[in-house]
Amino acid sequence: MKQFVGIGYRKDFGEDFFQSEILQPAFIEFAPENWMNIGGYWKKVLKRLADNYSITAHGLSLSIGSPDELDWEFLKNIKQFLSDYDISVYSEHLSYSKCDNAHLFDLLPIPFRYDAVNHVVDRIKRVQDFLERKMAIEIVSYYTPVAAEMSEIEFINSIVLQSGCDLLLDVNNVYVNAFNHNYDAKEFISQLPLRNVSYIHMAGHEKVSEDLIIDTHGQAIIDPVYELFDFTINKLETPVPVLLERDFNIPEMEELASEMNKLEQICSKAWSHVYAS
Amino acid sequence: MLLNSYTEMQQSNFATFCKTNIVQPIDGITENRIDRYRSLIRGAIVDNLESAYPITESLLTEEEWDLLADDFIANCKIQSPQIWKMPYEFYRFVDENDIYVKTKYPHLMDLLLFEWKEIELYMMEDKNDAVGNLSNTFNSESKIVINQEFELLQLSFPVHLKPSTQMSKQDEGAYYLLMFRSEDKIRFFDLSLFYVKVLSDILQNDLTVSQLTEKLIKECAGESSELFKENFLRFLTAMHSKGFILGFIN
Repeated sequence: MKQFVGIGYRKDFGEDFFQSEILQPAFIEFAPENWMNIGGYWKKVLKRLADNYSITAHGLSLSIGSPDELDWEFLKNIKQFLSDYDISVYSEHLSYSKCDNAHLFDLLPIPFRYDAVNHVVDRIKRVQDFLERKMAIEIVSYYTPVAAEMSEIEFINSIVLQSGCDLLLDVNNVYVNAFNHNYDAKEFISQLPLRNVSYIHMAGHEKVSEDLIIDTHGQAIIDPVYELFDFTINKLETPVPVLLERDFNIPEMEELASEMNKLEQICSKAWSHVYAS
Repeated sequence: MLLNSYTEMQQSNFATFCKTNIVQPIDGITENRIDRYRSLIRGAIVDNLESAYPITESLLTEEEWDLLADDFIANCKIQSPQIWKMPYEFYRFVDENDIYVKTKYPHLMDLLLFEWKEIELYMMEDKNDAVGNLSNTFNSESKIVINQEFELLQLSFPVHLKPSTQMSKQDEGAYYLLMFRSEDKIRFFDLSLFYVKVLSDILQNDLTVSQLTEKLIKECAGESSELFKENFLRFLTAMHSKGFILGFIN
């Protein structure tokens, strides 16, 4: 069993996941929207995995940056899901996916603006109060800024520090954003409130043109992102869970295992001193 | 709200563009990249619809399907935060709006309902947890315990019996389809009106097998009681073996 590295469970994994001993994840992540209030086969799968692994939850539809009111009924279901499966880590995206009373099922960029900071901070606090726990907010990949009046790093840091939430650091997203918006990824990471990082995501992406990378989660992680990951975790004071995300083009389990093993090796090397002491 | 109207407008205009392709002023964007969001959103919604409604998708021409999907994305205010429930909103959207393909394909609404109900039943929360120990055999004093994970649909076209591409106005009639989840699979039974009544009696009355038999015999004049009884008991046995009857309380 791995010590640090988990995997996001996808229905496409099917029975292979159960029959294979190859992955040995430290934990398994579920998107609660796809798993709550269900029964039948998929509920059995969820229970079987929850009985054998620690579970984390990574939400898709909270829409923390939306102008629309928070959906309290939805949050009630989230709270129940977290309780039912004894989930300690709940994360969501720093974006909006619902607007003008309609869900869009993708992560739109919040304008980097002072009033948006206040708005998001207030909503994170209300969500955390309701859930009676901290949540981790993920830095999302974005392809265009919208009506920005501050930098991305200022926007993120203000929200994290003012709301007191945790940070989900998706290292691939930082790589993608740095490429797409022409900044230095390591410098960006160095400026984040790294003490608030409670969770890391890693994934692959696709370069679609000379100046644009899309965060697809459909390819293997590339070496420069592993390198950025190595750089990042060496700056953290304490170990945090690390997740491999793969949503499309699901490869053979051996291929996923190879990526997870590589991540685990980097973690073990960086964090061995914590356990040695 | 802490968000000012300017920021809210920027967000709304961005979302509107993604849904409708209608360009409204959005400040500070990288013009050639905003299309990416529209295609990501369209991809997520259309992929989900195609997975939910494969028969409908193959019935419609590509152009009809694309136009319908675009109309839905632009004009439906999708309410469910759970994307797997979104196809039901698509069904409602087609049902509630004046859409050309409903005229061209009179069986479209039945087909959409049939495809959606299969998903809904497959995913629905477990309802049979508290049934306790049941017998697999029955006698005249047994009470019947029904699988609660079911839907009984009344359809105007036999979308469950005939390929949709071969359906014509002549097929229009009254069809009854029992769908239920058993052993994590969805099972389908085409029922006659008579067996719909039988089912409704089983569901609505807390009667023993003999009380049910007598009631049905009394209400169904014209058939010999012995033949009726034999058919009814055969029906019970068949439904039990298929998983619609979970068992019996003796």
